[in-house]
Amino acid sequence: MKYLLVLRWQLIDFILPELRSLFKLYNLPTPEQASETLVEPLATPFHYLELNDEEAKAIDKICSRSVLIHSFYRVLEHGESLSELHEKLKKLPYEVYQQDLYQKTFKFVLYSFNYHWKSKTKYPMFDDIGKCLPHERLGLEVDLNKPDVELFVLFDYSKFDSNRTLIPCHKPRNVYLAFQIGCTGFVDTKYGLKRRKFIGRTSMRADLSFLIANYALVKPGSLVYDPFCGTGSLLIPCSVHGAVSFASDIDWRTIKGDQELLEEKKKRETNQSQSQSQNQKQKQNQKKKYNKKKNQKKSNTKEIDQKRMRLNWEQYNIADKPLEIILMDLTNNNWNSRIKFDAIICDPPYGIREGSKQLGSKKTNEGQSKEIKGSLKFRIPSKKQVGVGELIKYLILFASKSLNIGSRLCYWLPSRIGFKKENIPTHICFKIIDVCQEKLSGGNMRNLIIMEKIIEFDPLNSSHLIIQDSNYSFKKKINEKGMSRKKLAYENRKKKMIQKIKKEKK
Amino acid sequence: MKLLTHNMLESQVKTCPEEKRFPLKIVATEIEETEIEFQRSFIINIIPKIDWGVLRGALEEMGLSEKYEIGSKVPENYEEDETFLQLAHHILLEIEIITGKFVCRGTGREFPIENKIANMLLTSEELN
Repeated sequence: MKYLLVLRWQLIDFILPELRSLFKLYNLPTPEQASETLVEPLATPFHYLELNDEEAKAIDKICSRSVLIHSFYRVLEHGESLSELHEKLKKLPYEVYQQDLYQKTFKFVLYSFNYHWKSKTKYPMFDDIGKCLPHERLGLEVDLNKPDVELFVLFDYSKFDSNRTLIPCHKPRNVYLAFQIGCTGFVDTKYGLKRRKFIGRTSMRADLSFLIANYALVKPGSLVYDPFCGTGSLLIPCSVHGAVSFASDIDWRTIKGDQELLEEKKKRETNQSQSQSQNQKQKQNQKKKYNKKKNQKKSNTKEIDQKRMRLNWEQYNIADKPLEIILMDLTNNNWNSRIKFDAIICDPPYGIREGSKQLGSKKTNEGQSKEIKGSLKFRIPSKKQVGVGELIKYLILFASKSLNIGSRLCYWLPSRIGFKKENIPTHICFKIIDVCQEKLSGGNMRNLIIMEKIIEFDPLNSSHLIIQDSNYSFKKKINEKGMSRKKLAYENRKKKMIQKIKKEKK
Repeated sequence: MKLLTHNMLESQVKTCPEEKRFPLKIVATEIEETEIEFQRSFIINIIPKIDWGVLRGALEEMGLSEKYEIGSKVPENYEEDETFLQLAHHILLEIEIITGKFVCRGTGREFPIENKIANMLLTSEELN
């Protein structure tokens, strides 16, 4: 049978790796084998697949968790232009129509890529296609409200220039008439960050975190670990897919939420207000009452604001999936290597929004750490800065010891634009499966690296980690004067201000 | 803190001798029994990897050894023993330490557990 896979035309670098991972997860042949057009670079979001029934069922399952597949169809007929489609539909034997459309109500649905059909032309086009179907013999009737069957008319107007950007086009490459089997699109609406209860500065976008769970081949019962969990945004999709999630982070504020701090603050405020009010008791009784009221109001809103990671799990009805949160530093982690993980996924702190840090004191001689004891119940140990390269090294070494064979490590690596794939750190235990690059503002980009463990870690041969360039970071752009852009803008503003003041003085 | 995780954690205090790092001693002040979705394939896969002696010890330290009796060894053909799988699932994933502490057997260093979250962070003097 002929099927049609329609892709979402966004994060284009991420599409084929996702398909490859999901095809592997559901034991299908590679996407390249399924369709000749599913190769790099992708020329269109529409892909014809020749599949048997079992494979079609597997792809339907894939649709249920894919981020970048738009929809999946069983094709009735297709042509390179509308007139060709008309001709082919007229020639199609009656039996083909009979099994799907006999005595049914139906409506047409239009899906057009890279071209907007106006309703003036859209309805005549539907009529023309309808005329080519043997509607009288089938007993077909149109029902726009509750049809039995939805007949999809799909137009592929994709056309690219030399820079691989879409350009307007008025002649379709292909026209399809098909029945929809699967449709995705739940990720943004259901799990979007806008409606999530607990997010932080480093929360990963919902679509990207669902993609990472797919790359990491997360399935029900997988042991998944995120060593830099932050607000846990990467583990939400894993729990949705039924995995056993482990989260750890060095920063207790993001993990525990500001709950403890809030309680502490509340205590302090009430204490202060009490002492203040005692002093002012004789002077101003009215003001005291006002203060009390104010404090009550504040504490109420703060209670609602209590932010916790598990709130998200409750919000998405996945609280019955196992989640373990630990305060831990990856570079001094407490895992014993007996039980191994099925996937390690993370977004390491690059030092932009969240600093890359490890336990230890900055002062090497004294070794004294500043600690707040008692009042906060939790001790805050001193941390010191580590480079991103150093952190990645710890991460890969940890993964090489604590992953099962065939399991995957997915992590983000920051870089400048123009980063070559040869500069990615390699390890003898790992094979690099895919690298997806996303451009960010200011000449920066981040690379999602997907590695698969192929052989067991050998402690005798520990020097097999190769880091090509340890300066993985977003570097500030430096101009000829040796100043960053921000500093340059600041200097210019300063000069203008000085000139203005001088003029005013004159 | 689930008992599955307790089975995977060890102490990293510098002065602690290698053989005393695992397992950590449990002092539980508040225990909750939650409901977690039962996943047969996961439990079957995880049972052979669990250190059964440590799990028994953990239950004893929490005062639950009478409530949940598990033998010193995994029964043969445990894959088909439905009641055993359910029990293992309950012990590994559904018993949750809300507050309490882990104690390092070698050095006596305490790691507090609060709101189900264990704090395993060390100070710079204790690092390896």
